[in-house]
Amino acid sequence: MEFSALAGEIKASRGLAPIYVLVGVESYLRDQGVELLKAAGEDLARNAVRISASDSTWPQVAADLYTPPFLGGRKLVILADEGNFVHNHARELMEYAAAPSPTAVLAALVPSEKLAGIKEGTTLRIVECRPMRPAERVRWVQSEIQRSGKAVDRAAAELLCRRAGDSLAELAGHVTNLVTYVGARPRIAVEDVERLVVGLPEREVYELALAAARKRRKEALEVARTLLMSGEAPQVLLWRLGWQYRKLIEAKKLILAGRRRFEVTSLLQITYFPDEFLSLVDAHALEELLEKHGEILAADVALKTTGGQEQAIMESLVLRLAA
Amino acid sequence: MRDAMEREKTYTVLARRYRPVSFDEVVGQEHVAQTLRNAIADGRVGHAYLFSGPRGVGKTSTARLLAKALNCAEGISADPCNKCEICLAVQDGTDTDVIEMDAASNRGVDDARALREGVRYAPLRSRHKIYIIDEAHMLTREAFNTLLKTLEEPPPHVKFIFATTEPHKIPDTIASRCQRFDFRRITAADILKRLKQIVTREKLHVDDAVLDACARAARGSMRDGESVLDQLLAFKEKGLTAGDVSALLGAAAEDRIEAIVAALKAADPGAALTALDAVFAGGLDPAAFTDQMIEHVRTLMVIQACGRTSPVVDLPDHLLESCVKQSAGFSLEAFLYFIQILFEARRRIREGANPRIVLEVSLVKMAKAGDLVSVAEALKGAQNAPVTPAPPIKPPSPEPPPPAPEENAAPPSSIEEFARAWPRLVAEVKKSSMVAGALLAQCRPIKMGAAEIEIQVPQNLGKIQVDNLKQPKHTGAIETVLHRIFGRRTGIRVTLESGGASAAEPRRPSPSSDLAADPSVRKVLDAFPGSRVDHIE
Repeated sequence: MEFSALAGEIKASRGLAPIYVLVGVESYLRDQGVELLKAAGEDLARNAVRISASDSTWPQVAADLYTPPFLGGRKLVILADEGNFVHNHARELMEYAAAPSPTAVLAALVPSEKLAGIKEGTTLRIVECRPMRPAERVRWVQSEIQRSGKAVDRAAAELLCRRAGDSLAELAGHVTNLVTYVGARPRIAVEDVERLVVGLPEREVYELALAAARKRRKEALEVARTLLMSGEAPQVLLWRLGWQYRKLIEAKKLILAGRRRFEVTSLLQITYFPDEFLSLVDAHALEELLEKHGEILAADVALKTTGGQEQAIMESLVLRLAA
Repeated sequence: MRDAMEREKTYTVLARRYRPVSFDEVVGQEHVAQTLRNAIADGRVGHAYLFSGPRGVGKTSTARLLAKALNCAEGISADPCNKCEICLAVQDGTDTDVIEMDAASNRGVDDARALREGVRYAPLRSRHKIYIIDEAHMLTREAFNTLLKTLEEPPPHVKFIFATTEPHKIPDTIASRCQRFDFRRITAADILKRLKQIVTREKLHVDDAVLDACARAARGSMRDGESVLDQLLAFKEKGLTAGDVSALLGAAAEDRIEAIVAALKAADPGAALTALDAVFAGGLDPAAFTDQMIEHVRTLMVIQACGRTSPVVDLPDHLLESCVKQSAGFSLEAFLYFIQILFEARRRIREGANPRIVLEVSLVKMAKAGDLVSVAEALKGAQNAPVTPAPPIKPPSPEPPPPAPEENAAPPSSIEEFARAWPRLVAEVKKSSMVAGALLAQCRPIKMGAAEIEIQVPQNLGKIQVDNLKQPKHTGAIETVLHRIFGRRTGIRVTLESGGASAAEPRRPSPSSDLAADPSVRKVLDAFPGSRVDHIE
């Protein structure tokens, strides 16, 4: 079942299944799943036991499951799998599912994409905790903010998702901060996100390269300033910028060699903003990209040999890239 | 004498004395202060925070404020009393329940274990036990792992605040369990405002221009700004001038810099050198002066590119007006050119060249920038005579990429000819291997044999660069291009320039004679009888 269905199932008070396997690479959802189970009542929060799979064997886990909780009610056994524990004990888990302990709920947290040998049934529920797609993330942000009693502009939610990066946990942290930041105000606007959430350097470097490609000097300088003001080290910025232009050069060469566009992003493993990446490739001739890469190398040399003046070096580089 | 000693004993630097004592006093980080205030008021304080940002922008101070707010004897409040024993102890960094740990010197797994053990015990006298871990990125991976379990489910009485200047070094597993706040560099205007408050409280009279100079010298760090002011006040308490700040920082007074810019605008090298002479007469450090020039030209460049109202400019009004005037009349390209020359000057000074000569040559180059016209433009002018004079300030535009060597062109017959074709060779190599091209650009050909070219790596680049260039992937790329030029397989031999070889080594062909021999330049010279190539950029 999808993660969102877990909350629905618990809310519908259909009673908890004896086993929940929370599987997927999104650790935040796995943790949230445990929180939902704890909040489902039946004394689970009070009787929660966390077992690390790396320190345990299946008989130990089974013994924990069949031992009634000391304080009565039902017990929540959280099995944190850090490797292949659940995968390796799939048969034992299915056997346990056939005769589960009446006094325990097992929450197995499995940080992998697939689960082999385990089938969903009435006693065993599989909850998918996969990473969200961009549109899903925006919807998730909106619903989380609504749950906190606030509203959010769609543009603000989109900006937040762009700036917060991949980690859902960090995104959730930003949502909490934003809700707290606006205080009594009912709505979160783009300006709030701009003020509170510093963009990911990867994203900002894209913005910088885009502005430079469009010859928007002022915009490019402002992005560079934002990056420098956020405390990002100029050496790191240069490295990112150099990486960006090297990828653009490789992409340009591949396109000139007749490769199809989707092949190019796939070959170069461009998972972030592929459309924008290709538009940057289109905006430059190969010679121009080589020349700009040379400018970045020259700025790198200047940074290492002039003993400071980072701001001037970065800004003059930005202006040369936008020339 | 005794008074002075007593004063010295009790003196606390401004940066410590004027640490913010309430969220309202936090400068430049209003977004963080506001969020924390609201979190305290709503009872939504998280169990772990990650404060990231450059040094001296208020991370530790904000952490202490949060600690005070949570542990104040008067009750949890965004406005702690600042009078109770706990507030005062937290402010001094001596509270028993607010544990400040410097992760730079306590970075090991044992330190983290000791911390984890301590977490289990209730606070001695306050509501919360608060761990402020400064320079958190310095913790080892094992130490982070030790903390991880505690961070996952900390006891309700414990709060963690990690402060770091390098958030990317914090493992995701830790960062994802913290509420993150990004602290920004503080603008010069905000630093100025705070410095004004400090001098008012200290009952001192310091000119705005002095404070402004301190604020700009701080480069976004409040602590640095306060330190500069501290040093100035130690120097003299009354009658401080902007010149004192310049003297303290080893910088030239603004009017000297202005004079140099005016000379550059007038394309008057003599005036520029006279102004420079005055700077040297003041006994200033040439490196610091070059830095100041770079910064000044950068300001003018940014005004030119973004306009005076852009936040990128970040100048107080009185300086803004003057800088806007100075930047008028220059093109953006001129500033880029100036900055490039100044970077080069800075590099040479750092390498030990005579700073005076380096700076003088740089200023003359900058003043004479208007005389330089790119070959492309000169050719265009020659074709469309009558020629219009070049505008007063016009640095050479970047030359178009050199044309690819013609497959059927006659191969170079001498090392001089080959040296002339060198930039084209480098450009060609860059097309197939950026790294090989970049390495090659720093070398020069010195000998041409029938089957081999000898390339020399400058001594300052060292043997490592020779080894780099000798890698088969690089030599392969270079030899492919040589094959196209010579029409036959030509190998390369890479050598390192010997220390005292400059006198004995074969003379590099004169650049002006190289250029004069170029057919396109020849055409320009023919079009202007009597002209000659005497300066190359």
